[in-house]
Parts: sequence; C-alpha cells; structure tokens
Amino acid sequence: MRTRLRVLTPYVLLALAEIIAYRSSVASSYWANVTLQWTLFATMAVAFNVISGFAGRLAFGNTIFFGVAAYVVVAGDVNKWYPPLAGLAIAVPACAVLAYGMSYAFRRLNGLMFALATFAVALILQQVVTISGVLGSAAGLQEPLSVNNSLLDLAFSQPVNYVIAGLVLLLLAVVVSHLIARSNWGLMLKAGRDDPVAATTSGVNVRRNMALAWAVSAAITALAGVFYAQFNLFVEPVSSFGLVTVNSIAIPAIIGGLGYVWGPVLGSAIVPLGLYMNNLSTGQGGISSPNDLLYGAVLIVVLRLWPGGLISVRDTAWVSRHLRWLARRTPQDTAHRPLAAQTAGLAPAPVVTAEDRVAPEADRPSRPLLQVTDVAKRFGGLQALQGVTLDVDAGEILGLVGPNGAGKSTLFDCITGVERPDSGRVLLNGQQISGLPAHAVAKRGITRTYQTPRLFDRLTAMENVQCAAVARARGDGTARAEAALAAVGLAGHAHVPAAKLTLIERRMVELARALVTEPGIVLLDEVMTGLEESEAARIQELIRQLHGRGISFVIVEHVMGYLLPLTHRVAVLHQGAILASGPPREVLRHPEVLEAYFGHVDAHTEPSDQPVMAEARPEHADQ
Amino acid sequence: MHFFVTAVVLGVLVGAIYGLFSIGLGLSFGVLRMVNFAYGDFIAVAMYIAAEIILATHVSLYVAIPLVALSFIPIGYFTYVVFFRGTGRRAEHDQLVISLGLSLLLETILTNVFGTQPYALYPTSIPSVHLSWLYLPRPQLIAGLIALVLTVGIDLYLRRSRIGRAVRAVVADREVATTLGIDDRKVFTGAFVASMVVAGIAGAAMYGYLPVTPDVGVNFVLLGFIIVVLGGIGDLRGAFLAGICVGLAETLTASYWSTNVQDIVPYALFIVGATMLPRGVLGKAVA
Repeated sequence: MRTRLRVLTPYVLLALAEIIAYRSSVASSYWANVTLQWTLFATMAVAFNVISGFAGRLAFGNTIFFGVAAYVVVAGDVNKWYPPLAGLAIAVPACAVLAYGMSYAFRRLNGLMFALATFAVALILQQVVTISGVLGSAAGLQEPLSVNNSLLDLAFSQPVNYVIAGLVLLLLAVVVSHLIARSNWGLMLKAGRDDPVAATTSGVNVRRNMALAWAVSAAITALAGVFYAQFNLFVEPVSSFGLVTVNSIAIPAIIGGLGYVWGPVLGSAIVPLGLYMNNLSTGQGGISSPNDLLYGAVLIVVLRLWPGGLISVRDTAWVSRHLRWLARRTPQDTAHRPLAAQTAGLAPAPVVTAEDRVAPEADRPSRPLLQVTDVAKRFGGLQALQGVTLDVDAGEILGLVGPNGAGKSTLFDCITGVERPDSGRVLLNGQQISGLPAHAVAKRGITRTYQTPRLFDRLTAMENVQCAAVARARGDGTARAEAALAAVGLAGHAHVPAAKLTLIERRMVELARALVTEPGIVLLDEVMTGLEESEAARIQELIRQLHGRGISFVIVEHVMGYLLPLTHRVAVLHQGAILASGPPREVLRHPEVLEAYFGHVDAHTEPSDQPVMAEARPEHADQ
Repeated sequence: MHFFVTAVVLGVLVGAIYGLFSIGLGLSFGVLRMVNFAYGDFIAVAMYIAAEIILATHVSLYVAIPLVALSFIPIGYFTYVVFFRGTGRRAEHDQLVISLGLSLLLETILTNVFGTQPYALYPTSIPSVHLSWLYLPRPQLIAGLIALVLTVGIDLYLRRSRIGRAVRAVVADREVATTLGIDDRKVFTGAFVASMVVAGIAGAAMYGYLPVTPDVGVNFVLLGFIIVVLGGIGDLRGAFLAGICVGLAETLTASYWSTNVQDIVPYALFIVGATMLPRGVLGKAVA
C-alpha cells in the first residue's frame, strides 16, 4: 500500500501544480501564453523521451509530427475541408502510422545517423510546405477567428481553457510515459536500447518495439501540435518543422535527463525561464534571443557535469550520503557473499561421474535437435563459412573448437538469426529456422551467450534476466527471473546495475538470461575464457546441472582442459568448414586437426594420455 | 550547351568546397567518431573573422584565409578541451548533445555581435574570370582550387606520414595503438584541431562568394554530415567526391528546375543514401 501511495505522489504534485498554474493563468493572457507553451513543450519533451530516452533513438525529427498535425488541422479549417476536431482525429493516427513506417525505413541507422535522417525529413517537409501554395507557402496559414467555444472547432474564447487542455495533455503524456517505464514492454524497449543484438537473441522484437515507441511518441507530439496551432490559429513552415522547435523539444528533455519519466518534466522548467528572459529583453535594446543563450549554456553545463541529465543527480554519491530522501530507492541487496556460498543452497545436482561425462556413442540419444546443413556466409572478400554441416542431438553437449577466425562465432550468428546465411539451412526440431528474424529464433528455443558478455548495461542484473523472461512469456517475469538468477548463484546481486558487475558475474547473468527463456539448446561462446580455474569450475558445474535438466549445449571454448570433460562430442571448425567431428579423444588425434593447429606434425609423435591440445591452447586476446 | 557546361562547372566548384568542409568534418567524425554539431557554426565564425580582418586591414581575401586558418588552431584546441575532452562512455550521444548546445550558443552570440544583416565581400557583383564563353566567379574558382589542393594534401598526409599512420592506427584499434606507444589523446586532440582548421579555411574561402548571416551554420553542418555519410564514413576521398556530387545535383536542380527544390536535394540524397547505401557512394568499408 505504501509503495502505491508513493507512486501516486508525483501525480498529486502535478495536480497541485495544475491548480497553481490555473489560478495564475486566470490573471493575464501573458501568463496563459507562458503556461500553455510550457505545458505543450513539456508534453512534447515527454514524448521525445519515449523514443529517445526509453528506446534510445534521438529523434530530432519529432517536429515532423508537431508540424504535420498543425498543418492537417489548420489547412482543413482554412479550406473548409473538415472541422478542426476531425483534423485532430486524422492527424494523430496519421502521425503514429508515419512514425511507425519511418522507424522501419530507418531501422539500420542509429545514433547520430538516425537523428540526422529524421531531421532531414523535417527539413524536406518544411521546404515542401514553403513552396506549396495551398498550404500558404512561406507566409503560413491563418485560421478564421472562431470564438464559439465549441468542441468541434477546438477553439476557446478564454485562453484559460487552452491552458487546461495543455495541462490535461501533459498529465496524459506523463501517465503514458510512466506506464511504459513500468511495463514489461518498457523493459524490453530499454533492453533494445542498451544492446539491440543481445535483446533480439533473447527473444525481443526490437524493431517492432522501436516502431511502436515512436508511434506513441508521434501521437502525443501530434496532439500537442494540434493545440499549439489552435491556440495561435496560425501555422507557418519554420516554426512548425525547423530547428527552433527541435531545440525547444529536445533540449529540455535532455537537460532533465533522458530515460527517466520525470526528467523531461524537470527539464521543461527551462521553457518558462526562457520565455521570461525573452520578455525581459524585448523593447529595450537588450540582447536578441536570450532564451537560446540560456538553452545552450544550461545544456552544456548540465551535460558536462552530469551526462545523465539533471535528474541523475539523485544517483550521485553525494546525494545518497547527504540528501537521502532525494535519492532513488532501490531494494536492499543481500550481503555480497561469494558466489560459491550461494550456489551451495541449490537443489542437489545430479551426480555425474567421469564415465558419464564422456558417454559412449551408443548410449547417446540420437534424435537430431539442431541440424545445420551446408551453411555458407561471406563478408565482403572473406568467406567466413563455406558449407558447414553439423547436427546436434537432443541431450548432447557438443564442443566446437577451432583456431581464432575459424568462423565459430559466425556460425553461432547464422544459427541464431543474427546473420542470415548466404546459403544452406538450419533446422530446429525438423523446422527451418534459418531466415527467421533473431527474436523468432530465440522463441523457438535456441539461445546464446557472447564471447564478450553483452548485457543491458543501464538495467540491473534482475532486469536483464526479467526482460528475457517476459519476452518468452507474458505476465510478471519477476519470479522466473529470480529463480534463474538464483540458479546461477547471483540472487544477491539482483539489483546491481549490469555495468558494475565483474566478468564472471556478467557471464553468469548472461547465462541466467539465456536460461530464463527455457531453451532447448544453448550456444555458449567462450563462456569460460579469461576466468580463473575455480570460476570456470563453477560454470562447468552449472552446465552439468542444466544438462541434467535436459538442455543441450554447443560450447565454443579454447581451453581444452575446461571443455573436454564436459562434452560428448567435439567438432573442429577450420577456415569456415567442419574438419572433423566425433568423440573428443579421437578427434583431437586426427592428423588433419593436428595439422590445422600445429602445422606439420611428426607422424611418430606418441599420443599422450592427456588430450594434446590441452597445453597448446591458441593465444587469445580478450576481444 | 553553354548553359549546361556552365552549370556543371559551377556545380563542381560549389561541390569542391562542400567536399573540403566535409573532409574537415570527416577528420573528426568519420575518422575518430567525434560528433561536432557546432562545426557549421565554426564555419560561420570563420567567415565573420575573415570579414573583420578584411574590414580592419583592407588586405585581400587570400591573405585573410591563412590568418583565419591560424586563428583556428587556438580556437580548435580551446573548443576541444572545454567541450569535448573526456566525454564518457556514450561519447557519440554526449558529444552530439553538448555540441548542439554549443551550436545554439555560437549562433546566438554571432546574432548579437554582428546582427542579422548579411556581410558580403562583394555586396554588388562578384568579379569573374572568363575562358572564352565560360564566365566563372573568380573567388569561387579559387576556393575550388584551394579545396582540391588541400584535399589531396590531407589525403596524402594521412596515408604517407608518420602522424597520418598513427591516426589510422588509432582508428583501426585504439587499444592496440596505445599499447604500441601511440598517444591516442594527442591523436584525438590533433585530429579535432585539424578538423577545425579546415573549417576555418573553408569558411574564409567561401566568404569570397557567399554572404554570411549568423544562421548559415546549420546548413553547413547538415550538408557536411550528409556528405560524409554519402561518401562512406571514414573515407575522405569518398567525402570529397560525394561533396562534388551534391554540389552538382544542387546546381543542376537550381538551373533546370527551381531554386526552391534545390534545398531539398541534399536531404533527399541523404535519406536515400543512408537507408540504401550504408557503405557510401564508393561502396568501400569503413576506413
């Protein structure tokens, strides 16, 4: 109950602010104007945060929706095509669809490129409007003054009514943003922002989520655009699409803090401040556009001091020490116990003897689970894979070895749908999975880890796992995520941000994230490389336990000493093709394999009892 | 036919200078992934500095150009240290945002210092050179030549000199380069300053034929990024060629269609290029 109350507090505060704003707005139309501008730009900043903060794509071109909506409404009214209310009903869904489509068109662009491409669209629209007579050209369109206060006209005789509309809109935007931030969908959105590849291979449809997020953002921005136009009863190209408006939307959101619900609202305080400064300097020979000076200076200073924006001040050490009431409340972690101590409490693992580990060929179940047939992949001039054929049986642990650059990671990419093979097929349980998008492959029950662990760094360990859990099946993923974290012995680290975890902890979280998708088969890419022996032993033990629960594995590992005790069978990949496969001992004495690893081998070399390659692991830098 | 040839030659000249300032941007963004959204405003600053030098001392533009270039060494260093050095893990995002603020600041400062009335070296008519029937504006011809010479020079320097190799080493793998004894901080500072000096030269050279107002910067930086992307990020020769293509496309559109449509051309090219040709017009891989 207490937590519920706390969640409500911001809304209560906002309602109070509304009452105050309402009282002051009655006083004069100047204050009404300032308050309306604040509410509308704050609304658009909140909308901007949905795509740029939660989804991580800086959409400078969000003015597209502001301008398009304004023009749809005003042009419809001026030309007597339809009343403004109908214009709103057209503009909002149209902008959502436009954003959804553009998100797919720009799917390969990220960071600066996405920001510039969206802005380029806005500038093209600005130019098109400027040269089209029916839209009023550069001079803009002036709506007839309508003071009948009817809903159909979306025009009010009292400025106060616009202010109320603006406040309602802001409240709506904040509630939507809040719901997204707390939802499973929001979690998947943030995961896609932090690492799109890892998110898709965890079963998240990143592209669709990005498109939906931008559609929501566009719809809210369009609503604000409609009310802005109806307040001024006027539109013109530059303020509708241009950089001025980009600045007024993006800068407050960024100053406040992208990725936080309340960041853009906090940052939007700069809007009335700027308007106030403009008002001060007009008519007395003062400096021109002081609001731009303010925006620029505050943006630089804040971002240089706190790259996360003003609201991230809450997370600084100083605040948590001196102003504890202000700091973000995170659930208390259990003490930082060594991992082994925590794993001790797990359900007893099935006893695995040395004989069981390397099961004889005949005892092995032989239903093919994963069938890779003649898969080839070329990158420019490099033939990374040239016709790889490989089967993995249900319940098998297959070791995949080969020198650096042999194509092991590329093979994993082709199996999991991260890369599309140029030719060949991949079947899972007899069904073709090659050609499916990565998130669909993940949902069929294949998951993986990465050579360098790829976590969602701005999320906690718990959220990292939870996101994969809810991508797998709807509902509250907390319990499943907790269980998976406990299974890897990281229950005590649930609320630690992923960026602060050590290498072994990152690997464990990645494993937990893989397990929570209830996979039939897990591909492990150098999961023990770079770990100490005791740490590697823990991962080996975990793999055995999970294998006991019926999960199959393909393990890429350079360190033979770690790999061989685990595997039923080893396949050697060399220069993009399978060189040999079979029981570990046989394969590792295969002349061609020795040749591939050591160059020419003296035929008289006595096969030692130890697998030869155990001492001769290839040098591997951490990549 | 004369009309067409004139349009093409003018387009190449306009494009050459686009190519030049894009190479400056390419040095910081394309090569070292530093995002400087205020780059265009620094070009505007260069144009104003050139204007002030000429107004104060009555030297010719071609004396002013090297002076502006010199002044951009401290300007570039100061900008790097104050605004760019030590931007964190999400460097691209932080730099984009901080330089957006810087761009806004510069534009407002220019507005307040110089006003919104345009400054131009030749307010009425630009002197021209004529080769039989071909009339070309002289400052534009010289700007195009400067662009060509500088581009070839920068390209050769990056390929042949020790420092150029150090830069390319840092581009290829920063960590390995530092372990080989290359001071990556010096490389970043140097590349940034070099990029700003190029902005200075391009700006001063353009002042010969383009009037300057405080808000021209945004167009330049957008054009610059567009051209760097079209040329293939990290590919300086590609950027120069892409600059010429954009200049040609703009001039031909203006000559045969409308000057209104001209402004759309680079943006449309960018959207098509960025979505369809992720590796640039020359189709080469990064750096």
